[in-house]
Amino acid sequence: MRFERREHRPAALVIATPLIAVVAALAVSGILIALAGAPVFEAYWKILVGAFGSKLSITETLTRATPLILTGLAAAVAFRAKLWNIGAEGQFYLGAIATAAVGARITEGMAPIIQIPILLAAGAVAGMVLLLLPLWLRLKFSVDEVVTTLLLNFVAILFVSMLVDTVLKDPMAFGWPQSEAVERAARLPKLIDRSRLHIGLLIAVAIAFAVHFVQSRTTFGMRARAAGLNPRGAVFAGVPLARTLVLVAMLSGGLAGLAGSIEVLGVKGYVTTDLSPGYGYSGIVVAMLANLHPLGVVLAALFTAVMFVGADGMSRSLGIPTYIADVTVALSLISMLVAVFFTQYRVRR
Amino acid sequence: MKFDFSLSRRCLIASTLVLGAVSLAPAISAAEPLKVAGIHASPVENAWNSVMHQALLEAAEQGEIEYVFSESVSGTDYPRAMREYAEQGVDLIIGESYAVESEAREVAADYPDTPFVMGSSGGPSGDNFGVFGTWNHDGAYLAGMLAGTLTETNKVGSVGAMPIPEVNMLINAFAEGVKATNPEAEHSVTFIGTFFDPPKAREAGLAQIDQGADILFGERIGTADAAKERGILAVGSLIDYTPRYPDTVFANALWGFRPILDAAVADAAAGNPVGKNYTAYGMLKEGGSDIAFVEGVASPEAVEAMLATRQEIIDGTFEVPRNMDEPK
Repeated sequence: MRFERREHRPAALVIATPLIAVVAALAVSGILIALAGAPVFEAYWKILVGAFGSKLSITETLTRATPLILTGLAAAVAFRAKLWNIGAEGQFYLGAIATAAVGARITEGMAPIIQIPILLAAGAVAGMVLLLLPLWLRLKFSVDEVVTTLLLNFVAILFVSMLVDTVLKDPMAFGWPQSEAVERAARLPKLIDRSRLHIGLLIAVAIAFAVHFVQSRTTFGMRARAAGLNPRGAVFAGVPLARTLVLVAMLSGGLAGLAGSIEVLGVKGYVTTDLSPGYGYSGIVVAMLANLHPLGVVLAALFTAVMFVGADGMSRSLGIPTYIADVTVALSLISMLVAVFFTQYRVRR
Repeated sequence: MKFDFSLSRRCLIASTLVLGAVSLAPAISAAEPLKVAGIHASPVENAWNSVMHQALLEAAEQGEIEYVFSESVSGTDYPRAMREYAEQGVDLIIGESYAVESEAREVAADYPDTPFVMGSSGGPSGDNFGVFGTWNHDGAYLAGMLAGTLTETNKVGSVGAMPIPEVNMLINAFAEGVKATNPEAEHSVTFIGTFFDPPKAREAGLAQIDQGADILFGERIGTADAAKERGILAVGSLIDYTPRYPDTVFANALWGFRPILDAAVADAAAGNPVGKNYTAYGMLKEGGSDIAFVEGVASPEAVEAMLATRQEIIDGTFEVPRNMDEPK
């Protein structure tokens, strides 16, 4: 048995496989839901209600999707150039803490119109730096960046943990390890009152369009793709490989750092070590679901957020263990990945 | 005569109706217990959460409340969990706002008709956001008194979660108790930086033992594993660890959540504002916390002295110092 790349992708297949994937995931998690003693079909309904059923659930789903769009883009742009950035989680945290540090110590009191861009830039730059280091190791010493970016996540999170417990610790937080907060004036405006939804969503979607433009319409976009498809061929064709990869790394790390920055400015206001429920890692899944397409990333992030918020809400309204919701999310992501794979490959005996 | 008779009969019917209605009223409210939601940031197996979870389950079994819960809710999801339960229309939300102090208060302000009672380091807020602390320091002090008489190396160690005020107070109380019976003893402390990580607590405990401690105060679950491994004694906190570590844990600073829960449920049921501090209901004097210890480990004199102090605390003649500074 072998897999063969499809020349043509029939439209029916492209539409049907994701649906089959979701049905399969729900069927399997339905077994767990039934074992927990809850009515299975009501549970499916509650997932929809949990994700879309009220103003609260819609805003929560979109709030959840915002960082996923950005970390998804971070993974997508890097993977396209075959730069295996597994470190979006660390870059997210470093971007978040840079924003909190600059906001609390340097830019406090400035006009929001100046302060917010500075804080977003601070987060993006921090994310870039954290990815440029492993890229340098790869270019200079051929160190595999899968390993270095992955391990740097732990370094970054422990570094943040140290900062929120020492120099950046908020003295008003009753001893809780959390960073000083960015002042309220410098937070991102809310899109809807009495919700957590902020304009970061619009920023993220706009960036997805911008990335799509850069990738499909600019020289840099073509070079990055060439570098990914065949590095030696690209060099032969005159692509400056190292420079292109540096730019890709800056874009990828910058997006992940920006995700952390926007999460701080839009949702929390400060940094704790549980700021991210794995946004960096989920970003990889989001990018794979989207087949590395920037606009697909927006939809994939939305799907991931829907499953998470919906399943989480379902577990609460039916009183079944929260962990079943986690399993449902994981199953839906895995089956969706398999489905995406089968739209691109066929099985040959 | 006839007139009188019919009047008295009418009176009889009327009064029967009134009586019936009065006796029926509590029956209706008993049939519909208060719906209480618990939002746990850690798994409900975590000692602190388990105390609350058990109290809530017990109250539900007795038919006093209806209990639904979420566990392992991360800081990012916590405000949503609060909002979801509030929108579901539960009558009381019990939880912990340590990691989300300001956000939790914002949520409460958005749902003024939903009472929230949260474990918190801060104060109450508005009419519908009440708080409680975990003040089982009386038991920790008493366990410290026993530990002071039992240490041979004159070194005791504590393993705590994070240096937040009530954890500090608890560990300081244990250290004070040790000092009370053994002024020579040294006390050292390690914070593991998280609320639920038993292997990490065990590691911290082993490090304390390597530095010479021969009694460990496990503010966090997992500490007793280290003590058991090295064959030394340990003190548990919040729940009774002795059944699980029969030869290791000789005393426990128990904390009870039921009195706090009952007070909060009573307020919520009566429609009273819950925006107050429920901490005191969890103290020894109010029947919330206490010490549980194994007979025959400490000397009878030590136990006698400890029990005398316990009585003084209950009588109000002695108060365990409340020192919320970070122990060194």
